[in-house]
Amino acid sequence: MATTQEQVLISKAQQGDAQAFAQLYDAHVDAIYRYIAIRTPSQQHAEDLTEEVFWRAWQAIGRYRPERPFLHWLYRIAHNLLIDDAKRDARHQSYEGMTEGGYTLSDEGPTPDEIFAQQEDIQQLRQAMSTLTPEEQTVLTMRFFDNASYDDIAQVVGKSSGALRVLQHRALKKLATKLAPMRGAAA
Amino acid sequence: MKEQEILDSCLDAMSAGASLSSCLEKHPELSAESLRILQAAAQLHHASAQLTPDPAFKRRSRAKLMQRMTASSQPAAAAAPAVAAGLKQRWHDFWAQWRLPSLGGMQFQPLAAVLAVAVILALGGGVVAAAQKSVPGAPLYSIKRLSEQARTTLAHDDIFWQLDIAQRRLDEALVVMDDNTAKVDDLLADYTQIMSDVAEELAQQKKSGAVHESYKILTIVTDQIEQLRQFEGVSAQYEPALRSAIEITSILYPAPKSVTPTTVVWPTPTITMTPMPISSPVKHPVVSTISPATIEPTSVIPTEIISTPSVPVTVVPTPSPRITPPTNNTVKPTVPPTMAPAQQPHPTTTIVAPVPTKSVPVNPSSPSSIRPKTPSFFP
Repeated sequence: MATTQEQVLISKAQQGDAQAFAQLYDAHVDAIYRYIAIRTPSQQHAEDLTEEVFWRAWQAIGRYRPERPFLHWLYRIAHNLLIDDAKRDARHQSYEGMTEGGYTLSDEGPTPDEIFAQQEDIQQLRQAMSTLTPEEQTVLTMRFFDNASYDDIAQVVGKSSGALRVLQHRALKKLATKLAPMRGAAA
Repeated sequence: MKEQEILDSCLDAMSAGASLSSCLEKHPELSAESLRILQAAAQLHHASAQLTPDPAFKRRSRAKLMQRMTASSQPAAAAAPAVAAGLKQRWHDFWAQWRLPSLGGMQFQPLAAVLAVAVILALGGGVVAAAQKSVPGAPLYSIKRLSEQARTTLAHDDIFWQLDIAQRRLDEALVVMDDNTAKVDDLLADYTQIMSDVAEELAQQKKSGAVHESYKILTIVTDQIEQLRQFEGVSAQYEPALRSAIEITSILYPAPKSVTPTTVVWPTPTITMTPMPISSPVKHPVVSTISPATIEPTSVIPTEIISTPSVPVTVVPTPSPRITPPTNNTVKPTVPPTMAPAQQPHPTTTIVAPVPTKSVPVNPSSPSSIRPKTPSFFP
């Protein structure tokens, strides 16, 4: 459930208060960006999609129900958007050119070598993630990026908690299988 | 503790922020396979801290969003529900305070009803009724949407009402399809959102018990899926809309788990023939047949007697070839139990057909819905 302060902002946004919605944007843009960025090949694309999620959320905010966390409602929008996006074009398949259009990682502290190593790790992870289904990607990102409960994830992907546990296990197994040779090659 | 349980507990802990090493310290006995899975989870968790949006992007995107929000009129979806949300809360407060009784399961919702009545009175019932047929771009369309929202306050949990609104968006999209693709996209996006809400509601209902009138819902959604197909190649929103409708069907009737096809070996049907004593020769060749289509598992098939009077037969007392059952009284199905007139060895032959009792044994454990491939009893 949305916090009281957040609920106030949502109520205002539902009445058309753009400033209130902008505050909701501030509160959740990092999480939505992360959710998308691990699943898209370029930073520019992740930024575009993040922007689109908030625009769609603004358009549909009247339908938001306070019984569920606002972030998870945003995740659902992002989930649908990513599925559309993956079907619309084959960009997710073209990971070769990712370095050129690649991501700039958080530059607080690490040396250039460390940044390079981080980029390598993220790129491998992103590549491995691209082999998973959208549901599997959502389960993993919600679990390990935001520590979301299975019940919360169930509201986004429309599966039971029990099924999600199985799905998570299967997804991690696939991810591990994809990452192992990459680690070997990098070593 | 089993390996799987250890793995699950480690994953739960890691999703909450625990490190991989802390898990391995507790459970050094984990297999290499589990270790690889945990490493993948750790890498994922680690990545989340590194994937931070560029501050410049955040500023730029926020400004752009503000500009779009301010420039666009308040979204139709936002205006009335905002009122509805406020009213809903006030209604709950009111209800908690006064505890109005329910009548035959129907509860009064005065504030919402007041809103709906107010909208109708303010606009005039005729105007609202006329607005119901309007499409996007028409002068009365906003009234249509407002009246929908007013009614939604009365029936916000009514799935059939939600499906009705979804159907309206679909109908509107069909009307404007030839003129305005952008509007079709918007309408289908609305449709998708409504159906997602319905799916969510159904998932909740299913979780807490049974979904009422699921067949009726399925019928409506199936019809909508058919209508949606008209937008294939027309709107970019076609696929999400279709998917949202299909999601509902899968919630109502989840696909069964895949079953590995197995070969069902049916026992060879046998026909047990019980010859009857011949009391008198017959004048016509009597052909007993079994129609394969009539064979049902667990049933004893009565023999159908077909007479062919057009074939002249002279009665000759003896000798007469006859179908003689084997000593064990069992005839393999590959052996036709009958002889067609054309096959008769001699036109004057008298065929004494016993009245056989044929029983086709079937596997009693076999599902009745699966019929064995009936062997051909006839050439």
